[in-house]
Amino acid sequence: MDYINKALEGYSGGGCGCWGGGRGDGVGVTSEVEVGEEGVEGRVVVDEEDDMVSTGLEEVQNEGTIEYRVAEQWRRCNQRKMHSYGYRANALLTFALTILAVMCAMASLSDNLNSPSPTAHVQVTHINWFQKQPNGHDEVSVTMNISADLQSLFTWNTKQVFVFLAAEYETHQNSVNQISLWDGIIPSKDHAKFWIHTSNKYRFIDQGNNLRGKEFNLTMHWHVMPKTGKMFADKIVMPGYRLPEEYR
Amino acid sequence: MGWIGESVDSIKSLQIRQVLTQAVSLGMIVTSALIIWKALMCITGSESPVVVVLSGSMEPGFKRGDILFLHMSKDPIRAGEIVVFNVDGREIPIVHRVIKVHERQDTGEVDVLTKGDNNYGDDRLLYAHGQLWLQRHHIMGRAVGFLPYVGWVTIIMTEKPIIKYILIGALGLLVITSKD
Repeated sequence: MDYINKALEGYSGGGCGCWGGGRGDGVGVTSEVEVGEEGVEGRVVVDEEDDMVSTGLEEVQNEGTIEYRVAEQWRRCNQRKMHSYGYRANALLTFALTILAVMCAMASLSDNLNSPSPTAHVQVTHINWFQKQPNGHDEVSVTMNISADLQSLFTWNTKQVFVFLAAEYETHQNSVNQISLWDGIIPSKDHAKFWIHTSNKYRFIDQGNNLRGKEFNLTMHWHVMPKTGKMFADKIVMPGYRLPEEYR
Repeated sequence: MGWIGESVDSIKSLQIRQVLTQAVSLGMIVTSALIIWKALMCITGSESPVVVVLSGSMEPGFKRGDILFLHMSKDPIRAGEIVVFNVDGREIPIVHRVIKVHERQDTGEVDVLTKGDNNYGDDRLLYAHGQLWLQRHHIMGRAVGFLPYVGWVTIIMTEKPIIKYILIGALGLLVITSKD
């Protein structure tokens, strides 16, 4: 098929080998078309007049066996055109997505280089009330001073840090009790060093009535949410808090 | 106008071998996607290893259209983890954070309470009527990784099915008409 391709290219005056309809530079050209591929040898002599340049297709279609070839060529040309656009767009998209994925992965991995050293300090200033609910569960309300410095958690891939303070204790019934007392979202490094005075945001209720005189830990947990990639979490355990012996 | 006829001709003139090759390559694409999905299921131990965030209840951490990667290990569930759970009588799983955990001494069963970071109250209103705690079997996995925006593709496709059909049609046509 290469023969015909070249011949046609010469005939239509270059381009992509497609037939640009109505180019005038083919006037009087005598082109020789040899179709060797499938054993059909045709000799096409095109004597052109000015007015015959219009498509170039019709005149060759008269030539019997060549007709199919030309149609084929036409189709391939069209296809190659489409193919080349689609193909390029596809290649570009694939490349862009690959780069994006690699960059996301690298951003996520770069978080591993950060070794944070956050600090936290919590003081229970007051037991607001402490009672047994009608259903037999102990509930307590406390007021706390929470201060923390979480600035070192922030890297360039950090979207936010979710921080919460949980009371953790063990009872004869439950091996693990974790009750979130306060939480907050830190949107940026500027807000990562804070001090607040608050009573518990969520209810501090035991499953049972085991809270009198109960020793518990206050644990500062944080979850680092990245802009993309893996999430990190860690905590600081602060032991040595004790609830009163009597309801009040 | 001519291009429709040309396309029809091109489809007509396809040779059986090319058709077969295309069928095989199409099959390869579909099956490899399936293989990746199933492999992820095996690795993560979660029945749906990748989920799309549909609501804004975890903003600003997770927005609508973000993708979460789930992992389901034998590790016990602890406060602060972001879990995906199914509630009886609700079809769509929910992604929220654990705020309370009570783990039984003798049986090791857990009672878990969750809350969306952006919600005012805890999730007891979302649970089945009268349900106070989530148990282990409600939880499908915990979120370990995060990819922004990508989930919009599926959200758009579910909400505007016409786009899905157009896309599938276009891709199918591309596969059929493209050679070599």
